[in-house]
This record gives sequence, C-alpha cells and structure tokens, in this order.
Amino acid sequence: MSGLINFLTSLKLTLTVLLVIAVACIAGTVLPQGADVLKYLEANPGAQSQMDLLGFLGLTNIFYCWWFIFLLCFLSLSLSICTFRRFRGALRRKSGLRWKDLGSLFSHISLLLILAGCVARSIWGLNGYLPLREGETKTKFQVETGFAELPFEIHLEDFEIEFYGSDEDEHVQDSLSEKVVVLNHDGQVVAEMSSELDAGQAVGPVQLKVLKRIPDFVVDTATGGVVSRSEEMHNPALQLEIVEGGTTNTQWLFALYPGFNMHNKEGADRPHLDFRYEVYVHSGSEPGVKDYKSTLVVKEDGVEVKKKTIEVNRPLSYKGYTFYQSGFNPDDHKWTSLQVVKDPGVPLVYAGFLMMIIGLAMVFYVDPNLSVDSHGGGKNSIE
Amino acid sequence: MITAFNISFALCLVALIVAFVGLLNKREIVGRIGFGVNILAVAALTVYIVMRWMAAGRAPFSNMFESLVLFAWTILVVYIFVYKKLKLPIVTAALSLMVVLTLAYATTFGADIRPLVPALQSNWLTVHVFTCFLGYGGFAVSFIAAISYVIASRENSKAAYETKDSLEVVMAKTVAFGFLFLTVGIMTGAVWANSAWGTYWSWDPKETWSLVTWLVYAGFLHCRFIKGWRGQKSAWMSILGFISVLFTYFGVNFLLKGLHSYL
Repeated sequence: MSGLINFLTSLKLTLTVLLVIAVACIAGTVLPQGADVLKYLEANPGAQSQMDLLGFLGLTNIFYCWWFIFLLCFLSLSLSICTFRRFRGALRRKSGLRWKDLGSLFSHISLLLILAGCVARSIWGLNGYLPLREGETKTKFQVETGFAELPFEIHLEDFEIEFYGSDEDEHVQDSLSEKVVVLNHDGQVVAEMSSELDAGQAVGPVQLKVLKRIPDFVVDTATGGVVSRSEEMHNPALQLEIVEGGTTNTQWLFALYPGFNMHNKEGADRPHLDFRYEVYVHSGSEPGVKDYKSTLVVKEDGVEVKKKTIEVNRPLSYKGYTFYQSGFNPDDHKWTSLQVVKDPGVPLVYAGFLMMIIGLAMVFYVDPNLSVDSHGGGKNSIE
Repeated sequence: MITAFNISFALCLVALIVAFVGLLNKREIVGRIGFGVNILAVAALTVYIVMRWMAAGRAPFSNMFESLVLFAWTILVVYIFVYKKLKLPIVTAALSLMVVLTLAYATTFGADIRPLVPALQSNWLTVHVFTCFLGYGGFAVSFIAAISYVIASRENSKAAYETKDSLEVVMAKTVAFGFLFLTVGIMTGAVWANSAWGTYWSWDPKETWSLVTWLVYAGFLHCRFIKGWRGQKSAWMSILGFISVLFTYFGVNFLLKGLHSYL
C-alpha cells in the first residue's frame, strides 16, 4: 500500500502528469474545439473522418472530456497526499517548522481550493442568458437545457449606450489616425506621407509639402478665405503644395470627398500624381461604443429590494445570482442582453488565489532558499 | 510625447553600443557606463509611459505597441536589480539587444492612443497586464542567463566556473520572481474576467498558454528545489519556459484567436 502511495506521490509521476496536462492544453488551442468544429468542417468538408476520430478521442472538447478531468482529479489526489506527507515531515523535523514550509503548504492547498471551486461551479453553478426590454420584468433566464427560475424578479428600468465622440474626451481626438496617400494615375499607391503641418516628402521628381490642415473646412463667404467652422473633424481638409519641374501648385484634399480635390487655379495642369487624404476614426474592433448600461431593479413579491446600474465590469449580485452586462441589440437600443451566473465556487477560487500568492511570497521571499550549491550538486530542497 | 520615446530608444541604442564595446574591452568602467546609460533609458521610458498614461487618461497597457514598451521597461528594471550579481558583458549585451529589438518591433505598430472597448475599461487591466509583464521581464532575464550558462559551460576555466555560479543564482531568482508575478497576473486576469464576463477561466488560447507557461516554470522550480536539478538541465528548462512565454505573448496573437486579440 505504501509502495502505491509512494508511486502516486512521486515527483516523477506528478511532473509527468503536469507534462501531459500541458501537452493537452496546447492541443486544445491548436485543434478546433466545440462549436469551432462545425466551422472547420464548413471550410474543410473533406475532414469529416479526421474530426470524427478526434471527437472519439475527446480531442475536440479536450477541456471537458473525461480523461482531462481524470488527469486533474489525479493531480489533486497526488497533490493532497504529497502536501500532507511533506507537512507532516516538516512538523517532525528537529529544527522545527519554517516559514517556507507554511508557504509551500499554502501554495499547494491553494491549488486544491481552486480545483474545488471549479468542481462546485460545475455541479451547482448555472450560466445563462437573459434578454430584457426596457420596462420588462422576468423571473426566468435561458440556460443550455431550457429555462432556470430566479428566486426573485428582475426588471429593466433603463438602458443606454454611450458612444465615443459624444463628449469632450481628449483621447477621442487622439484616436484619429490620418495620412496622405500618393497614387499614380492607374490608382496604385506609390507612397504615403504624414498629414502633419509642414510635413514634406519627395516622391520621385515631385516634392510635396503640407501647407494647411483644417478640421472642419468651410469657405467664409464674406472674405472668400478658408476657415475652420469648429475644432471637430467634421470636414477634414488639407492643402498640399506640389512642386514638379520648377512649377508649384497647391491642391486641397478632402477626407470625406476624395474625388473633389480643389486646385489653386482654374485649368491648372493635372499633376502626374493623385492624392488622397485619409482620416480614420476609431478603427478598433468595436468602433464607437464607449459604454452600455442597464439600470436593473430586483423585486421580491413586487417590492423593490435592490437597484443598480450595471455595465461591463460592474455587475449586480443578489442572492447568489450575478447579472453581467453582456451585449445589446444594435438595431433596437431598448433591448439589453444580460448574462446570468450562479457560481457558488467563486469564494473558494478567490481564497485559493490569495493563499497561492501569500504562499509563493513566503517560499521565495520571507524565508528564501535560493542560494546555490552547484559545486556539490546536492539538493537544495524546500522540503 | 513621441520625443520621450525617441530619447528612450536612443539611450537603449547607446547602451547596446556600450555593451558591445564591453565585450571587447572588459574594463569595469565600460560596464559601469553601460549600466548608467541603462538607468537613464529606464528613466526616459518611465517618463514616456507616465506621459502616455496622462494623455490617455488610462494605463497605457492595452495594445501591442504599449505592451512592447512595457515589456522593454520590465526587462530593464529586472536587469538593473540583478546587475550586482551579474556583471557579465555577454549578459548585458544580450539584454540590451533584446530591449532594442523589442522597442524596434514596437515601432512597427501604431502608436496612436485609441479609446478602449468597454471590457477593457477596468482597473484590473492595469494590475493584470503590469504583473504579467513583470513576470515576463523576470523570465526574459532568466532566459539570457540560461543561454549564457549554456555558452559558459563549453569552457572549463576557473573564470567560467565562477560565471556559471552567478548565472545559476540569477537564473533561479529571476524565475522565482517571474513565477510569482505571472501567478498574480493570471489570477488578477481571472478576477477581472469574472467581473466582466462571469467566468474566471474560459480556456481562451492566451489563458491556456499562460497556464502552459506556468506549468513549465512550476516544473522548473520543483525540479530545482526538490530534485536538485542544477546546471544545464535547469538552463534548458528556463529556455523552454521562455519559448512558451514568447508563444503566449506573440504566437497566440498572430496564430490563434480569442479574447486577448487586442493584445
């Protein structure tokens, strides 16, 4: 029996299990998983038999398949016995218990706590989806297997979306990117240059320079001169000086009207190059949306018991259920989309996180044991 | 603001030149000058990061450009802390080269300050990214020490023997430092994910690869402190760990898709 326990808690076996888990994790990021399998098959219709084989081996759902969960359980068992034995050994030691013994104990128990939290979530947890329209009250939310009942009512009082550019955020201005694109008459890009004032560049024999940059171009009818109506980029325009073969021309380029380029004089020779002034605003993956907020009211028997405006990163929690702002309907801003989670494992997981950090700090820094005995090659154990 | 970046970059280039001079001329004064220039480079990078932070109204840790600048900063900071133990010209040169390449690579990405999507508007972003990159900085220095160890192992002189001792200490200390901060980084990321999406772990490729990296370094620490691994075996594990860090940082972004596609 002790031989089996020694084998189960041997470092060699534990490291081998860690290695297999690491390889499985890598496979899980490389092979199509879950819903991605269908997308993969749409793109590669001939791969059905390979996907069937991978599916049979659990390789298309690695993180939830039986052998991966078995490996995690095995690791937990091995860790539990190992931690217990090592701590017992430390207690029996003549020199007494050291900080690093406690640190090691903490960091290993923390892993067990985290894994216990994950198990609690998978057994007692719920994860679902709740679309709500302004003024609507619901007591159920959608889960994978149908609907789950809430022990209270949830009411959407208000939903609002904020967009970048609707206020005076300084970094909104900074989010603009702009440039001047130089093209030949076939429409091919031959160069790009900065649109900053006085920026200059030579493109072959042609010398270019930015003379003016106007955020909101308008011609003053009284003076006939060009002015900016505001500081906002409502009609960005740029005046370019083009020097070619001793002749100097100027040309206005408009970001919103690339085909309408004003030359300095009627009938001016068309330059050998074309120019385009390009301005990009918020070219991120979700352009424009700064925030979206739902004002939720929790009611019990029709009486308001809690009210909170939630947004991404600021959920509402009540009686073990947490409501997360997850999305909205871009075509109808009266609708909000909430994620509803019940996860009794979270306190365990967070306690595990805290213990792990404290434990590692104790092992490495409170009672450090990092000195080297490379000549002797002996063990420098934290046991 | 971009001037501060250019000054930092220029100082890192000067540090690199001094470090290469140090390879040919092993007088201590050359090493000291290089160290001084690196301190100036860190100061300039710090000024740049603070200026960018003030201009954006948020921590500048949210895209490739910003994270690469932070990565260069953390490598230099860790290097400065271990310098006393590791006054080796080859290590200084390799680290300077790594910093210059990191900053040069950063310039290939847009330096524009862009508004954040709602999910990134959280103080956890600052803590999560900063701690992860402190960890990466520690692993980067350990990697250079490990490479230097493997090279020094080819020699049998007394000097090489002493060099290997210093490298061994730095390799372990920086892995311990990196491991602690990577752990904090992964955990703060999990807490953040739980407050934004209601799940602390979703097997997103970046999460999964950070776990792989964590497992490799956990293996390193256990092999070293329990099995008593020393020397080349330890060095090769540190190198393997850093390859995993690089894949977690760059490979996942370019080859795999997931929640971290913005960074």
